[in-house]
Amino acid sequence: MLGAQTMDKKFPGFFAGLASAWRHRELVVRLTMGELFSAYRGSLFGWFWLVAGPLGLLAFYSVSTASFAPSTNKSDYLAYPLFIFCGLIYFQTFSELLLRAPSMLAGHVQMLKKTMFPTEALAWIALVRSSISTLILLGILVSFSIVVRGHPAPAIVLLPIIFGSFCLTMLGMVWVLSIIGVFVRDLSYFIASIMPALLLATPLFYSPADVSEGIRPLLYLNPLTFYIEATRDILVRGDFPSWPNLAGALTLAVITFRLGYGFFIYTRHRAVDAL
Amino acid sequence: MRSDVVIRTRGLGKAFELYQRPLDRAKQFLLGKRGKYFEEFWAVRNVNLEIRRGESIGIIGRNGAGKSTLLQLICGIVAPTTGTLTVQGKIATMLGLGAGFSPELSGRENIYIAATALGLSSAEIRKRFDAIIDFAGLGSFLEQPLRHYSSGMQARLAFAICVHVDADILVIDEVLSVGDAAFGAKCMQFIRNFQTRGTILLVSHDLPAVANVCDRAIFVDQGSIRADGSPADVIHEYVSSTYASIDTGGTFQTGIGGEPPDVGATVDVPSGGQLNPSAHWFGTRGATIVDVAFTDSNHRPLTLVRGGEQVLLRISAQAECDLALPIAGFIVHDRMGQEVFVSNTFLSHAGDPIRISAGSTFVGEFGFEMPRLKAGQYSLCVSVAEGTQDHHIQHHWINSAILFEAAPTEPIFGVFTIRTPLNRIRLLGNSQAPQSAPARQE
Repeated sequence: MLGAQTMDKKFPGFFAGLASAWRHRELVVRLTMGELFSAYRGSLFGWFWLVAGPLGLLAFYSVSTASFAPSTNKSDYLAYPLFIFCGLIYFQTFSELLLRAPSMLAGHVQMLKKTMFPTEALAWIALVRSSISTLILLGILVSFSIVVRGHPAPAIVLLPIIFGSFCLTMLGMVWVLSIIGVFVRDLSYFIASIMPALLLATPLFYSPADVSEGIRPLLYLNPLTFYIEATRDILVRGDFPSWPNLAGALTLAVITFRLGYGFFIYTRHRAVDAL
Repeated sequence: MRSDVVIRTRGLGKAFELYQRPLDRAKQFLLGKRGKYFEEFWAVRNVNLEIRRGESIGIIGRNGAGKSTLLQLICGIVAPTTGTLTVQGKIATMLGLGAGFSPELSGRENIYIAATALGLSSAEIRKRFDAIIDFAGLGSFLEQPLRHYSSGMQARLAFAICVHVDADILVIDEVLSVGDAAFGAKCMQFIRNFQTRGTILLVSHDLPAVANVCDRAIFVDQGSIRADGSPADVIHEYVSSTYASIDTGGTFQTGIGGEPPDVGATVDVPSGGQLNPSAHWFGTRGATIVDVAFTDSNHRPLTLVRGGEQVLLRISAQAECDLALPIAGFIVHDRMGQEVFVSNTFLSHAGDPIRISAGSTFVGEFGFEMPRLKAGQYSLCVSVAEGTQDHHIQHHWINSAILFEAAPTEPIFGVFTIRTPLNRIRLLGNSQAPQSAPARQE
């Protein structure tokens, strides 16, 4: 993987990745706030736009299911939007990060080449930035689910673990894609072109149970499927998610995070040179 | 003491990989060591440096010589291709104007972000915030988005943040030149103060500033260190190489001292005020300076000047080939290598150019009243050239051709003083109406 380059010889471990984030936590928070300020400054409603899109969709689905679906009771037509939204919140962050990752390093070239900036923190900034709206919506969904179901499901305590493992997976993905994106500039176009397919391959508007037995395992190749289904189990169905799935997803998240971080640290200097 | 060395490099080198096509870059990434699809460009090669605590180092060199890459290596922004680098202490750096700033955010927000990036906690920033805005002098612009700032204001802000993070090593790349004079003076004052406790690395094309600020200079040429030593020597090396690079005839030479050609009718005067035998020189030698005489009005050589006396500088040269537009000129340098005053014969002969034929001799003569210089050692750099003010070939340039001492009759603060005695200096109270007192002549 290395040319004639001398670089960090060690392939850092899982905790090194977390420690670096902890060390740079203030910087990550400041820069994320800065990016959001920059994005919404000058607009009339400002921060509202951060959640306006998903909230609008939520309202639209609620109203449309209420008018079209021949549901019998009130909780049913609230349950369908809830069902969809358990998927949308993850897919929104996932697609945003996927589209942003390949050009992430190129977009901060001044900062990377002219200041002593910790390169690995960029992924954290991207994650915090796009997961803020996910977190807000997750909060709204939890209260929604309490309204729909009448009482909080006990499995709600698992949500932070599920969300945390989702974040680790996303970080690993962003680190790898951001490096590849520097060397293969076509990556961002490729990702944009497969986005519609990814949308269909994610069980947003259906549940894996609706799919024929033959294709169902394929659906779980998409890491989002687990997170979406686990959240639905908790918020819509009031169940505990499948424990083997939870263990599998957590393991996968830790591995993705570790490999992604290691790969990033190992190749980042070459990537910055190539910018 | 070994721990005194804050930056040490051994065989430090940096090669960039240049790719012809995007496919090559992708192939290299996939195949790694098994193939080589790029051309190497060595921006820095084999740099061995030891920089001690408290040193102020000026890094000079032409554009693209590798100065910035060297600084990036030292700051750890780029990884070295070869060699080793050890740095002790915290580095604060400004390698580019506006780098690390967000144009949409206000000055206040940018201060917080940039200072955090340089390793300050929120509490520390709050404590120093007033000092930073005071130093930057932003006034009402503090709450404005950064895109409304002029480049000078951005430089001021960047410098103000940089100097308030308590770094051990300050790395400055050509940022100071953007600010105005008042801010420049403020920076200089800070740098002088910082020199007593920290190490400074300064990249600049402003040679007098390097001579003024630094106690050591490094001349970087094509990625390697070509000269390393006292600012005066290194600047001489740099200036001479600049003239060497524009020489097309291929006759450019450099040297030390050297015997003037036998034709020279050397005036038989005592040693003082005469050509320094160990002076460095360079030039294409289409003309050769055979004699330099720095004398008072009675043709007595001068080694000590008081200031205010009439002096005469005569630069005698012999043309080795035909000269179309000969110019003779001089620069007076102070001990730090700063130019104090400069003159040449170009303007006085711009109207009626004289031609000098090969073999004949000519003299550039300058009669002037010696300025009242601050006490200290000064040197006269003389040269004969051909061309115009902007485009010329240096035929013979002798650095420190003549050394002299200034010993003013009264203490002088600043570089020089105006006509003494200053008989118009007064302090006026409110009660005294300012009268237009004419200057009394001596």
